Amino acid sequence: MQFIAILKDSIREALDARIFWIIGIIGGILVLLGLTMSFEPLPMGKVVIGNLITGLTGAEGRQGPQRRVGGRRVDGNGLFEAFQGIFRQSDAKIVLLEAKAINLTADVVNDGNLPTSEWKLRLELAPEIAKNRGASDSESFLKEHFGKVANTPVVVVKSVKLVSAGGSTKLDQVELEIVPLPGFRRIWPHKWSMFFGGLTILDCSKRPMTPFDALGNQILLLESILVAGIGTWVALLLSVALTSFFIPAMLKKGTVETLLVRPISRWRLLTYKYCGGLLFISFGTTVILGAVWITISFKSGVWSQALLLMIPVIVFYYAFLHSISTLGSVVTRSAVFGLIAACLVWFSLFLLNVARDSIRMMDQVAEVAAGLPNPQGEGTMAQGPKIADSTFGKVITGVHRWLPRPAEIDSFVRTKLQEDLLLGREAEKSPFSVEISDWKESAGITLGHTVLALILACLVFSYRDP
Amino acid sequence: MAGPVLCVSGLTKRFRRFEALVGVNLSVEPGTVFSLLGQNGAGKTTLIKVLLGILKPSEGTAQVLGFPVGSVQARRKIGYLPEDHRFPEYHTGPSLLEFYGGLQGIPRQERRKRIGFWLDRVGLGGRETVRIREYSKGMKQRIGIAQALIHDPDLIFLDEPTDGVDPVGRREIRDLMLDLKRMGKTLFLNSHLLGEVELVSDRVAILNKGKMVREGSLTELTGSRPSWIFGFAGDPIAFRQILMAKGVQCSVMEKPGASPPHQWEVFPESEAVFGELVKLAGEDPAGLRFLQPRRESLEDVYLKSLGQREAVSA
Ligand SMILES: Nc1ncnc2c1ncn2[C@@H]1O[C@H](COP(=O)(O)OP(=O)(O)OP(=O)(O)O)[C@@H](O)[C@H]1O
Ligand SMILES: [Mg+2]
Repeated sequence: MQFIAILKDSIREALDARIFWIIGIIGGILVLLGLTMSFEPLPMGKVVIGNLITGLTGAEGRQGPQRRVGGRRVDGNGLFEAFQGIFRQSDAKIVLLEAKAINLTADVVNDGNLPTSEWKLRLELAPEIAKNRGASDSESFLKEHFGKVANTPVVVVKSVKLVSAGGSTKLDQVELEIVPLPGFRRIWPHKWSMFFGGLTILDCSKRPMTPFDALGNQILLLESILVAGIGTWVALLLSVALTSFFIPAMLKKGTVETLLVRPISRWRLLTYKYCGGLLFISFGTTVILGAVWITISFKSGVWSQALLLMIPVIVFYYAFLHSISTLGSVVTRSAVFGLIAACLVWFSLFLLNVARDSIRMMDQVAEVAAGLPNPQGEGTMAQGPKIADSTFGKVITGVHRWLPRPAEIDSFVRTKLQEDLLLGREAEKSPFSVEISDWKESAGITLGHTVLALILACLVFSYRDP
Repeated sequence: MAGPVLCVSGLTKRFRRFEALVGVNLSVEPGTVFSLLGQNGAGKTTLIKVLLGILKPSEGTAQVLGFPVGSVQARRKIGYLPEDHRFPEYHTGPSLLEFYGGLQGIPRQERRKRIGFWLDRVGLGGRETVRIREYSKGMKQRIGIAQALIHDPDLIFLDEPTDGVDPVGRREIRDLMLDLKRMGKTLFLNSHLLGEVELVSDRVAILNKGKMVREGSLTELTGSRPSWIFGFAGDPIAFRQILMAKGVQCSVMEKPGASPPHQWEVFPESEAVFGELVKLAGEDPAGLRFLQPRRESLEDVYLKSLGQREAVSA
């Protein structure tokens, strides 16, 4: 009941400070911006299907982040350079001879070259498949393997028909009917524009397709850079700023006395007030991110839930920053100082992260350089001592390990976004891939610091005369 | 409840090296009004804050309602009106009382009832939608009193309750305090308005520079030497001679333009002497016009005790 009373009081305070207005306005602007956005499928079915086949043929011998198809290096996204006409490579096991859309879904008005169209394909099977497996076997092989991107099916093979059996010189030719699954859209190239087509962001209709042209990647780009990246920082700082005056207002002389005489312990009073801030920000984040998510999903037709993960993640890191600003304002009784303390802590952690990453990078560069032949003489270049082993490096790495690592917020969510948007194992190969340390450990450390700051704040509040 | 509601012994409060309270001893009986007097900076507010558990005592012990100061149990039954209160400005009267009532753990239904009652009682009925931001000084004081009483406390600390309140309001607050006393509540009052204190208090203590210089019931403090004023239409020559003959202490009161013009303050040693004097005065040809008891005012006591302290310390 006391918690409810404090919560209701905080709601009044927030209403009075127009916090809900601010949340509404920000959410509204973002939704409106989102609504001007469009993702239009380009009529590039053959390219997509060609990519599917390269994906299949490459699937068996794939090892590194890059693989070779026909002697050319292909980036690891499964969506390759433009595919014109018939695709045939010496080491490909299946070759697409012809692809045409056979069935149009009700609302498709153009030529049916769309992610929702059904397709009839004519394929030429490499001798390994035809000979080693036999005709019926190649049918089951195709049904099982065709149309998967990184083990996730994007189309269903409805029928396989042998058109002409191969001989010693000829290859088996089969006809395939495929039906797209919803995931097919994600690997399909789209024209992405904003302001009702006024600003084109990505359009590959007049140039070779790149991984970014696939819808899944476009949404990933949008969500991971704009929403999860920049959006998080803005949201966090804004949240901390909006709620930074809550606790100092309560601690003002003349106000704090009326609270301290109530039958509630001081640590509870402070913790409840802290939780009030947390609840608002949870609410605000849910509303804004939820609205943005619905807008993006509605506009793109891809309903990926990973973005919603940002909600707990933002709230979690907000909880940390809010605990710092609470401690700062309990100690100094000043809202401004609390806010500055939170920003300083955040900035220091950011710098620490940069320092740690730089050390790593420089050591890696040195390692690579050490492998190069020595231009002055025999053997390779001698490797100098690693920065990570120096005292400075050890201090940075050690401190970094035991302090909250905000940079890992985005990497965690980004990974989830990739897993969600990029279909299965493709995610691992994505150009967005970031190195992730153990996120559970990272979260645990941050939580530990949050609790620590809160306990300190409670101790100061309980044992110091107001 | 049996025993004192407030029991303080050897209480000292230091702010760094400054001693705001020095060895204060105090005991307040239930159902009484206890007033604390003292100059600005004497330590009155500090004493209240220590008794409420807002400030921690540096030395000494204190018990409130039978619990150690600052304990949650004690706080359940204590009401407090701070001197320079700043209630959250975004509240209206009812929402503020709702908030504090919730913190006090009053059930919802009960809270509703009491909020209406107390708003009316402090004269804020009909102003429910006004925010505290827009309150006048007196209105703030009134809502302050309501929040101190919303949870039906047994012990109520009022730090200058009539500060900023108009004369009518002051009268209302005084009546309220007397009502509370009648209901068996104990009141602990800080005030600079001696007249007011005199009207409501049972016991008074005077604090000077953190030390308790006088403490006692109102009659103990003011009634130590009761005197009577005899007013005559003319010069009571016969009466003066009798007073002289009997050796009764007396003094003429210089009251230019007063009516009647001849007033004498007389200090009779006993009831018998007083009775005799009344009879004789009535027989005096100068004509007795009135007879009035005179006590030392609280102001006299107050100024005297502070003056004495100053004389001692000088
Ligand atoms: N938090 C504090 N830190 C340092 N000194 C303080 C603090 N609070 C009070 N004092 C000092 O203690 C002394 C007593 O203050 P207090 O507020 O109790 O006076 P008061 O008797 O209530 O005066 P007034 O009649 O003006 O309200 C003052 O000299 C004041 O400066
Ligand atoms: Mg005071």
